[in-house]
Parts: sequence; C-alpha cells; structure tokens
Amino acid sequence: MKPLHLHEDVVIKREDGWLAGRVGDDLVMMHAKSNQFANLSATGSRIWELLEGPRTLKNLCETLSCEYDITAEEAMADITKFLRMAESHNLLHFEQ
Amino acid sequence: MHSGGEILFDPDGNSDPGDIGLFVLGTCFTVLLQQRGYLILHASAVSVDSHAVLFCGPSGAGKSTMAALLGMRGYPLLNEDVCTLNPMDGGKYSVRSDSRMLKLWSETVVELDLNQNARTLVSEKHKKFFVEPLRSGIADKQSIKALYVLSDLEKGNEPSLEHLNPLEAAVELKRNAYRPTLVEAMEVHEDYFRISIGLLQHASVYRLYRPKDFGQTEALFALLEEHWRNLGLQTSDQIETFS
Repeated sequence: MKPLHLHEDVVIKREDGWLAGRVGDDLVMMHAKSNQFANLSATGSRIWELLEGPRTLKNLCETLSCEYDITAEEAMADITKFLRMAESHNLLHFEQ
Repeated sequence: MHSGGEILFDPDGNSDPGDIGLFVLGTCFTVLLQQRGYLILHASAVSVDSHAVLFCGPSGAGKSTMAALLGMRGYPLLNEDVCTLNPMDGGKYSVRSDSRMLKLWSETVVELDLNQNARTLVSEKHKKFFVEPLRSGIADKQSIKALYVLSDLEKGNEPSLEHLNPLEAAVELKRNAYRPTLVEAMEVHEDYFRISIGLLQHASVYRLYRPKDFGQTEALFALLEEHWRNLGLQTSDQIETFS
C-alpha cells in the first residue's frame, strides 16, 4: 500500500479513454478499451469534473475547500483518499 | 451491409433458408442499425399501459417465454428478441413493434397451450417454432419504463426483484447488447454508452429472479403487476386465467 501522503505540487491528470455520463447524483463511467466500469458519487464526480485539465493537488484542495466550506487540511485528507482510490482504478495518474 | 441502408446477401445454396432469415434479420440488421447510431438490445418487450417493459438476457434465458406468458395475461407483444432503442423528445427512449413472431421451443408451445398459434419451424438447426403472439398490433412507439434482466431463481424461493444501481445497470446494458461482439468490432462504444446513460435517466433496471418452469406463474404475475402499479402503470384488467 502506498503512503496516503501526496506532495501538494503533484500534478493530477485523467487517464484517457474514459466516457462518463450522469444518472441522478452518480457519474457512471466506462473505459471502452478495457471494458472497465466505475461509478463516482457527488464529491468524486466534482473532482473528476475539475480534472478536465491537469491540476496540482494544492489547486484542487483550495478549490474544493472553498466549495465545500471546509479547511484545506480536511479537504486534503478526503481528496488524497479519493485520488489514491481513483488511481488504483486507472481513472487518473500523478506526475511529479 | 452498406451505409446503414443496404444489405446484400448471396446464399451458397446449401444453407437453410430459416438460418439465412435469422442471420439477416438478426445480425445483419444489427450491423445496419448500429451504422445508423442505434443501440440494439438482446431483449423482448411487451406493452403495459402504453409503455414498454423489456426483458433481457442471453439466448435461452427465457425472454420469449416471458413475452408469451405476459401475452396470455393480456399484455401485447412489442418486440421479440431484438429491441432497437429510438430517441424521443425529452431524452426518453422508446421501442416500436417490428411485427416479429415469437420463437418458442416446442415444449413451451405445448406447455402454454399455444399449438393453434404455432407456425413453421424457425430452421432445421434451431428447433424452435414461430408462434403468432396472442396480442400484438401496437403501431405506436412506446417509451421504455423498465428493463428486467432475467435470472434463474433457486428452487424453493419466491420470484423477486432487485433494483440495480446505475453502475450495475450500465454493466448489464452493455452485457445485453444484441451482439456484444458487433459493438466491439464496429467500435460503437461511445454511442452505446451515451444511449445507455440516456436510457438510465428515465428508466430503471432490475434483476428479475423467476423460475424457469411454469409452477409459480401466478406469483410472477403478481410480483410484476404490483411493481408496475408502483411505477404508476395501469395493469391489465382483462385478466385471463392461466392454467
């Protein structure tokens, strides 16, 4: 298991090839080539939306802490957890 | 197959005309319609209160039998084995009857007492009979209200329904493409996914556990009709007893 900590300057990029569509609060996703499916809840799908272009972790935390009215530290913990999960499902990758 | 508008075929002289018919009306039509950007499901459909409900599953899952049973209950047949999803105003999707006959195993024809409706053998290889549906003739497009994935019921259990979440539903829609290999080969994943998501915004998908024999048919009708009433649909008031 990789450590949960990610450097705040790490750049987060979506992996190519994912299709996404909204059904209610869910964002249903499909990767055509690998035939993988995924489902993101409200917060996860907001992060996915924000990652339309690459962003640093710091930028993502600042944006979301404003939107959800939480401290940057709280945002960092939740976002890092989500990003690790999303990376393990090949939704995105990190660039140092 | 050309530009979604033309099918040319040249039988080799040894092929059973029934098999050629099945192939042209099934696989070839699917290629044609996929060229036009449609999603084609491996499903049968009946009409409930001017809406379509679809039953999908792989070959042998009982799609046609389910449609035949519901025909006896008073619900007209819309589609047999193949459902083409048509976009409607407002983002919904509909199906429309293409007047195909049911294809049923001879045992099913006997069991359901449909001998009078049975016509020719589908093909020599494919030992099913074309069976005239008891109720049909609906010409209008009907919007899709619900989709059921047929699953076998373990012995001793009552028929039941399980609501699938959007992720499970999207996986089942992909799995129940009329010809999944054609979705791959024609690389129409994007169209397929877009239409699946559109469908799921207005219709729900359920897993329907039901017996493969006809022992619990009344319980199955009761389950489905209660479900349809909960969805706001009026159920058949011309109940024909089934024995």
